[in-house]
Amino acid sequence: MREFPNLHRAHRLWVTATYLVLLVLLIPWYWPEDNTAQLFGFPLWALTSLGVLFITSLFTAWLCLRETFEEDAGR
Amino acid sequence: MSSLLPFGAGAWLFFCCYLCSLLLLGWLGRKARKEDSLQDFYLAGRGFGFIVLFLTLYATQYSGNTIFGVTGATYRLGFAWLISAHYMLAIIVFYRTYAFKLQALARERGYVTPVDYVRDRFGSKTLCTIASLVMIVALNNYLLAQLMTMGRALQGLAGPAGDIAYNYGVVALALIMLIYGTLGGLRAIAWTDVIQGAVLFVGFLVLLLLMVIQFGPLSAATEVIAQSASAEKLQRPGPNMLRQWLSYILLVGIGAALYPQAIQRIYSARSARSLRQSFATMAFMPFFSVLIAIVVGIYALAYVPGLEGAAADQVLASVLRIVQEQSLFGYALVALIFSAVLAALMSTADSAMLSISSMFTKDIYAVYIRPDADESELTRLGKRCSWVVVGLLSLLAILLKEQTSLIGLIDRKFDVLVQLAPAFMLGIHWLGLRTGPVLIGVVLGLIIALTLAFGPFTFVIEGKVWGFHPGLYGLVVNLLCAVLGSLWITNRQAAIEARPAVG
Repeated sequence: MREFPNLHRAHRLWVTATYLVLLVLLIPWYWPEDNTAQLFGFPLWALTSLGVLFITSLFTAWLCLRETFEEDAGR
Repeated sequence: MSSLLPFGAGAWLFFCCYLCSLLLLGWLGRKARKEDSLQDFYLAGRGFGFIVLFLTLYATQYSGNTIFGVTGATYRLGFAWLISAHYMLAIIVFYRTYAFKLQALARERGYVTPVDYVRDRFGSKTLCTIASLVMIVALNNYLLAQLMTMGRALQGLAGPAGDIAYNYGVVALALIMLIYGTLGGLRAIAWTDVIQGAVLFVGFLVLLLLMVIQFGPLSAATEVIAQSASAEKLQRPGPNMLRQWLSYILLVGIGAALYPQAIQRIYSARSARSLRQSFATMAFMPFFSVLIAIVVGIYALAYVPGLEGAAADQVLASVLRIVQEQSLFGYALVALIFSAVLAALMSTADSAMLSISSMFTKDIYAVYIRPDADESELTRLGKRCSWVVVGLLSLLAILLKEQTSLIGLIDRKFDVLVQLAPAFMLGIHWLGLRTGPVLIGVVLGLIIALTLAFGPFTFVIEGKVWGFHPGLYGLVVNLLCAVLGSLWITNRQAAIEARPAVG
């Protein structure tokens, strides 16, 4: 086995914690099962879940691009 | 073939032009090759920038299952199948845990297959062989599923002549895929993915437009469902389904992030920057693809009720037939969507085909059979391997045409793939992760996952234990074994080094 470099530090705790909070909110366990209120053709529980999914997408994209921004700033 | 399907000469001319463009790109990919090497054939010389990388990742990740499977599952389960949008994003989240470091390492150390990383990091022939076999088995299963869906795509539109159309679909599309795939390797496949990804993206948007034109707003469809016998499909899922929700996010998120064809796309990125930009864009794709497929499933539930079993899985084809018969505009749009379905299927299947051939040649043949084989010989063998694998799987797809339950039984790819997560997602960050515990962990994880999946246990209901997939139980044991075993070895070594020398 060749020498294997330890390239980077482990994921920061706050990134993991944020994902865990988003995961808890993504799954609609906190909505009453018999609530059938709707908005734009979506049940509210589904719309809330989609909203959290969109926030998760934004957060993920930001994390992916952050290092690119840092590289650009470094230059 | 045109006499079997409800498409006229114009639509078939469009399909033929589309399929010929794939062959042309295969030929151009061959002309563009720089050297007769594995790196050039399987990784396109590591030269993909943002646009090509994003579209090839998109076309590969969003398969025929995204259109047909998600629509069918939504039809059966209702809004609960929002799960699929969640797990598609989870794949990107789990990529992020290791892909950027792996890309840098792959460029520095010349990795071609995913197992090259395992070999370099852990230096164990046994672990490499297990990883190769797990990935090859999972990919063969995946490729078989895509070939069968190719057949079903034609079968669903063919009406009474469906059986013959299924066979034609499997053989013709597999042949075209083989030709362009073996002509130009990953370069040709990624270039076709650019076309296929664009067609797929436009196809999803057209599909949404088509539903609104044909059936009106989504709120009207939901209202129809609320008044029907399927009203419970609008309700929040029960506790067991919520557990399955979490299970799917973890299992598919981790498993699909370890697909060999995706890892090889990570290797083929020109830079970390293009990889980051591609993943950032991919994070929004569930909204432009899976969510649309879910909405179509809801429309189908409202306006094409009463389908069950295999017919429910092909509900998209039924919806398209309705739209196609309404107007010339609808007919043209359905032709475009059909092209998008073909694009989704072929772009996923060709990538799986190329990955299987690369792993067989480099990780099995070059390790066990001919260690002194040169790159040119391995590349030639890889091409032959693609023909043999796709030929056999096409035959199997035709033979298993009616055996949907059998396919469901062997569809455990994610349960086995996730067992490689500690080696990739943890091993790349933590130098303290040791080879022995990782190897034992993978073996234990596979045994637990497969025993729970196939054993005669009464507590395993619909392939899950308390709503969670067997692969996750295996992964927990696997992870504990890898981490605790590595810590124990490290502490033991530290204790030995700290012991004062005797004499």
